[in-house]
Amino acid sequence: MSDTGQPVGSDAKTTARFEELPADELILYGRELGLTLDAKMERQQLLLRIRERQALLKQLDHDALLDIVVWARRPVRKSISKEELAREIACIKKVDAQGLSRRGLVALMRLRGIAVNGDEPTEVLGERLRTHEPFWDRVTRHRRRLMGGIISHFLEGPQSPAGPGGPGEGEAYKFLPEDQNPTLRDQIAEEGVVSGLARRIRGAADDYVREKLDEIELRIDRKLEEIDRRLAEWRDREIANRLRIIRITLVASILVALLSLGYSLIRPH
Amino acid sequence: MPDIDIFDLWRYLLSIVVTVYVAIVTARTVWGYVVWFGSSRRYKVMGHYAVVLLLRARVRQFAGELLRIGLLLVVLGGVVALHWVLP
Repeated sequence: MSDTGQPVGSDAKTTARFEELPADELILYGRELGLTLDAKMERQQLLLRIRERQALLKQLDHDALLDIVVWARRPVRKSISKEELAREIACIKKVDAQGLSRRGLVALMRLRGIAVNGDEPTEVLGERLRTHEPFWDRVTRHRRRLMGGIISHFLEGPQSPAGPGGPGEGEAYKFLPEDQNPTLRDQIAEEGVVSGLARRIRGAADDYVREKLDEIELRIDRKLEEIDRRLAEWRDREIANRLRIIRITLVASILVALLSLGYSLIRPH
Repeated sequence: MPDIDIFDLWRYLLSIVVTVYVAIVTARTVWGYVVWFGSSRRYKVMGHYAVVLLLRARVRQFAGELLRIGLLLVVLGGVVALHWVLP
């Protein structure tokens, strides 16, 4: 449990078992938490980085992390764990800190690995967040904004760009509703002692099975993604080889064409 | 005795032989893939996945190579055109 009373992991077992994961799943796990990990990193280094990230999550305030997801308008429950929040935050590429609280901004910068003392003015922190955006992320963001502008111009017609009062900004953020589990007393009162107890036990067993199935599904999904990634790499290699063969063929064809041209010029008419 | 230029004959024969060879090999390969991917439901799914995998290839990744191929094609076209332009 963290200082705010929230568990750091989505489930403590998963967090405790991350050290047993194979290297590829360890890298995926770290990347989900927002780390930039190289596939060539050694296992000890990977574990160290992930432990550092978990330690950072323990230090960060739960409400500060919630501020970030609210600012980015990611749909979450208020009771979400810090690790799940870190996963959500890792998907956020936004750099415009307008509307983000100071504590959220500091937490976001620490999660993105940007140096922050805590005594800088908020404007300086916002500017630092903007300047630390990776170059290609910036290029991609501008390109998408441009494409978005063009497509929305054709589909929705010319209109003023979405500002603070634009679409999606006016409506206040709402958290997802929490799961409501009826208490044992309610269940017994509703269904009787035996049925109520049986339902509670069945519910616990169902939860356990569901959790295990989710874990298995997650691992299968990761394996499938890994297979897909390797096949994509193989495809790229094959295409590159084919293109290289075409280029060599073209060079040979040009040489033969030049030979033919030379012969055409010097042959006796 | 007809006046036959050996070099011209070699060029025409080469172009015909190579074109026919490439057409036959390409058609045979494509037909082989079509038959193989249609041989069972499992291979049909694999075929669909292969198509999706190919469609997901990013052209930008091969932009340099494609640019060089385009330039070489232009050069080849120019050299071939010179056969008609030059006396």
